[in-house]
Amino acid sequence: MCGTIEVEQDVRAENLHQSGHLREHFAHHGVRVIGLLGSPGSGKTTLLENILPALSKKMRVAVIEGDVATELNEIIFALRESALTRFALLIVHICHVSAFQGGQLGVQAVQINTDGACHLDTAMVKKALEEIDLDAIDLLIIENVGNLVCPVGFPLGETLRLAVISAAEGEDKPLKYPSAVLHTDAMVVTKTDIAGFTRVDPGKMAEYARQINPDIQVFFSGFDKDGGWNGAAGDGQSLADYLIG
Amino acid sequence: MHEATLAARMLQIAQAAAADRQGRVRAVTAVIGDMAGVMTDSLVFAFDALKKNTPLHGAQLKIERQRVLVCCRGCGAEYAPPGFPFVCPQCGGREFRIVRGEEIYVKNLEVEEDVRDH
Repeated sequence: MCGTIEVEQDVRAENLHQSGHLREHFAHHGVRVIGLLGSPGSGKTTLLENILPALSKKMRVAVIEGDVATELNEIIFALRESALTRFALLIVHICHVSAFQGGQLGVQAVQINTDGACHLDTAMVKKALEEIDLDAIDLLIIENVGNLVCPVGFPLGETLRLAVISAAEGEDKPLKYPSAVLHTDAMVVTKTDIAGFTRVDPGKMAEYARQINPDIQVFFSGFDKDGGWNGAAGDGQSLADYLIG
Repeated sequence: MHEATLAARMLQIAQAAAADRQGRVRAVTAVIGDMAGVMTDSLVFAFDALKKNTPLHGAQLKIERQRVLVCCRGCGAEYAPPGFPFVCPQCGGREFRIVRGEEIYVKNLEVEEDVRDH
């Protein structure tokens, strides 16, 4: 004969608790946090590289970069320092012995190597935050590991979360990843300049995203024929203004 | 997604809830929302693999599915959408709040009773 023990316990409660704790921590320091989610190669890093100058004009910015391996993204931000001369640059490796010091002014960037984990989690972000003085910044951008599934279910206390989806990933990509569209605040359609080659209508991608999430903001980003970045705009505003808030 | 991690956490929750009756847990019932992103077959597989050599080795994982229920932000009606796009059957509104359908929780345990329980 069996008796019943009522439990009613959320399996993900601890994770949500930690995310909420991070959110409070960021708010306490007055830092706005943007999460970038997207499949590998969707254009998250390129978007970030190109939008940082506009953000840095109005806010003190730091970046946390999540990758399975390499510190290449840290190097990218170091090489960009010549374009970002107003703010302190400090590149720190937190997972490797060597350290690289950018001598000029730029944007603080901290690299996390997950060594195989498919998403950043709150523990990794807390570790990275040991290298960042939250009182010295206004805006923190967390670029998650390339993956449009797992990061969605592991919030990091972000103020806004963006789904970066490129025109090279198929017009119906938003329909195939409904959780990513439902649980992010904005979708950025990148690589619009090659949409003609991939037979994708970025407008249709926006329409599909809104079928899933009618509240989602949509922005479009691409390069012109001379290689200039178009600034990412949509829904009547620039992406930079949307991120700054 | 991450069914093994979820299964491991369910075992932890069940062990804590059962306390000194862990060895007599015959079933763990979990509620999984239809939009929780969980492959239930994989979850059961992981649970059965991880429960071995633990006090819960005799426990079966039972799954109750929870269908999606949303609340229309326009008129307040609750409805079970057949699929995307979610459209309120009362007012035709498209804005919604998800009320049910994304949960993953351990609902209860079935424990074989012992005379010492009474």
